[in-house]
Amino acid sequence: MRKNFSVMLPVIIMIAVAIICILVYLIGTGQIKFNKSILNKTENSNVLNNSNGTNVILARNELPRLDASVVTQPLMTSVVRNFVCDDELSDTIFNYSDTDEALRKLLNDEVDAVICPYPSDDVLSLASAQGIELDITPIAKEGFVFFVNSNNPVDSIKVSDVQKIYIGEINNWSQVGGNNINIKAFQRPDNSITQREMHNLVMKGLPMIDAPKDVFIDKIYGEITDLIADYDNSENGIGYAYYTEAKLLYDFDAKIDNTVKLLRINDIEPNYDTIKDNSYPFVAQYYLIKNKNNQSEHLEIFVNALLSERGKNAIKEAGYIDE
Amino acid sequence: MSRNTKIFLVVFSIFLGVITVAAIFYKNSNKTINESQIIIESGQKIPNLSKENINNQNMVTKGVSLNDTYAVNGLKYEYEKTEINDIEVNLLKVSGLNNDNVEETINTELKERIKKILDSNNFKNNSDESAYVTTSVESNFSDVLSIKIFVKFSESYNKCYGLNYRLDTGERLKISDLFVYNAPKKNIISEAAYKSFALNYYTEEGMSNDFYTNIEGDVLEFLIDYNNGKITEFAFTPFTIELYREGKTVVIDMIDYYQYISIYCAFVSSSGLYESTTGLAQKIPVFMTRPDCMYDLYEKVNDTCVLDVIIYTDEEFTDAEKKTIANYRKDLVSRLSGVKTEKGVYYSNYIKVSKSVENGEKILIFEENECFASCEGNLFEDNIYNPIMSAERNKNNIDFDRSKIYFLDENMLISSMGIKKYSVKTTEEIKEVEENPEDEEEEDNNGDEEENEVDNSVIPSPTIIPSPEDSEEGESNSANDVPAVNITTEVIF
Repeated sequence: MRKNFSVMLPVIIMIAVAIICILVYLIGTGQIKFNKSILNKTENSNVLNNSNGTNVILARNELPRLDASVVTQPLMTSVVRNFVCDDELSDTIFNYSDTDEALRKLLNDEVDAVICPYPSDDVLSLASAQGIELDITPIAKEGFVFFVNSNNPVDSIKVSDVQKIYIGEINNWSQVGGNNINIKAFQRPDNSITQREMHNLVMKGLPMIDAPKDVFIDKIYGEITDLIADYDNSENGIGYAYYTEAKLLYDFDAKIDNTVKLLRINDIEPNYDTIKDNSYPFVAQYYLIKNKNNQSEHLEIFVNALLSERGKNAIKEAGYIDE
Repeated sequence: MSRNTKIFLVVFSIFLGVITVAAIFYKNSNKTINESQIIIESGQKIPNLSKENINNQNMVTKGVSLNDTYAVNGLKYEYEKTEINDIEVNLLKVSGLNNDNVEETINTELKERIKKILDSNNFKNNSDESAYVTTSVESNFSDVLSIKIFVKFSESYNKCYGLNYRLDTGERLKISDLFVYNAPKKNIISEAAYKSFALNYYTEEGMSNDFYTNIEGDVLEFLIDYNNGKITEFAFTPFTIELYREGKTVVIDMIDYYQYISIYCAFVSSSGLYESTTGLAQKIPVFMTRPDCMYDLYEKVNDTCVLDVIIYTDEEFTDAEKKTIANYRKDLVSRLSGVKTEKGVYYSNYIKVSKSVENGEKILIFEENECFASCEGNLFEDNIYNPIMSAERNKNNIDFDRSKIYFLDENMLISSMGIKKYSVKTTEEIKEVEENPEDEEEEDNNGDEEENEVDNSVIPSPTIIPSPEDSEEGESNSANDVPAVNITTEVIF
């Protein structure tokens, strides 16, 4: 028997090695994945893990009712994914409104908190009229950036020149060191949050010229001439947006043909450091806004987490600057 | 264990380990790159080049030029009404490929995709008794195929899906395969999304300011999904790319970005993929589509001569009738050889074939609708060819099923109609007895600009553009008895 065992032992070892190699191959090629949340899940939601491997802060059904502005969607999404076990998330949680609608929902007690730019005077008046005191806490910021076609020789522009372009005083790129070609100064629609930011942050009350309009033929409506033109990255164009918004919409990578490039303003490049220390001239602020009278325990947990180091890291991961 | 056995076991383990590691590296390097681009970034760093551009299937760096041409595939298709999960489905079936496996793959995957959609909770929760599914071939050229699946969930909700293939291997195409390697895809999709969503909110009264916020929100959401790799459903036509996401469609006009479009050339195969390509046009200008027909004789003969000829029908034919049509086609090609020698001519003839009986004998009737536009050779491109191409490449004209020659000024056109009859029994033309010349004079004296019978033996030679007096009535000679016209828009040159 001992002899049989000594013959079988190498075979057993070889089979074991082969099985281990197969398992390593399957794991290494992603054909077998370990679901950490299944391994770690207990009735206590505090030991659930999200995809970052960190403990969750709130279970899905404990999450406050949240809304966000269009431009803060990536921020809110990053934060929620960080705080809540990913397995329990669905797309419906990310069904965001625009800024004013989100704040109206807050005033109507349809949501518990909103992340967005500073509320407009209209919304503040409405809150005051309803006797609602808003708790407005700055939580993040980002650059409000200007961009041109990467082939445009202009790399930097002064704040005063930006204003002059948009009031029509400067209308040729040669006036700011570029080629001799008329400037096509793209804008955003009047009631968009980006246009509002442009007025408040950049133009500061100066009246802007009319926005260029698109002209195209539609099968149903025929010739359409009154649609505000969208930035088309033409060689003479200039556009503006929030930084994260711009990165979502346009190609900035130098390896791609005909990309977009960010302009330095007063020779200051928009990046983490210059926005953090406010040396970049156009910095947009975002706030967590809630009803001061809302004493929900889960809302308090959420807010505290947002203001903690972990929340700040989630904000940075989304491409924003933490406060 | 003996020493030798131990050594053997160690060597064996090391050998297996090395093979395992090599296999892992090989497998991971060959993984298909998905279309996602992670947007989460630290601080304000510029994101890395998306792996989406590094596409093992398409490393094309050059787009098309407007002078390029493409060939229609020899792939055939038909539709069959069927039911899946008790839902009415208009199911496409393809055939005509030399590679049966690829053919089988396409037909099977299409059915499976539809089944998966109908099995989904989304469909079960959001559909009602009005639900149905239709499939359609959106593109069948340059050895690629695009299939659109339209699912009507309920009266107020429908969604589109796409299946897109390269026909040499049967592999599925990705969105990135439609573009050259370094195309600014985000820029293109942003622009197209803005236009597409704006048109959704546009009304006869114009665009209301209230809707712009919705438009911007829709655009940003779409791009967030695109960056997260959630835009995977798409279809394409010779004109456009359609991206689908949760009931929303973004339409990209390819001609606006032609220098970045690679689908016309990226997957063209050097091997014969089809059982037959008879009757298919081989050199069609890019971003132009041809009408459904039995035979397409489109040919840009040279820089000053173009033939735009099709033979079409809405009837089914027996084999004998098909042989007769083939014989007619042969005769037609022979007649067209005379036109090919002309300079400065755009010749169009959309010929409808139908069945009839004459003197108890089965015949086929070919209704010819000829139209010439001609000018001096050096003016041909500016005055005739480019305006027609502009009309061809305008997707708003896609429903206009006459030749786009009719978008030219009427004064530039010489039109005539005629009928040829062919015997099914002999497959030969039935020559008409010449009419009494006195009868022709009576017709002319009517003063109406009625269409004239075409001389059945010879195609009239094109002449220089007639003076305006020759077309007093202002009506094209081809006003009557022409293919059904459904002009929805005018082209503005």
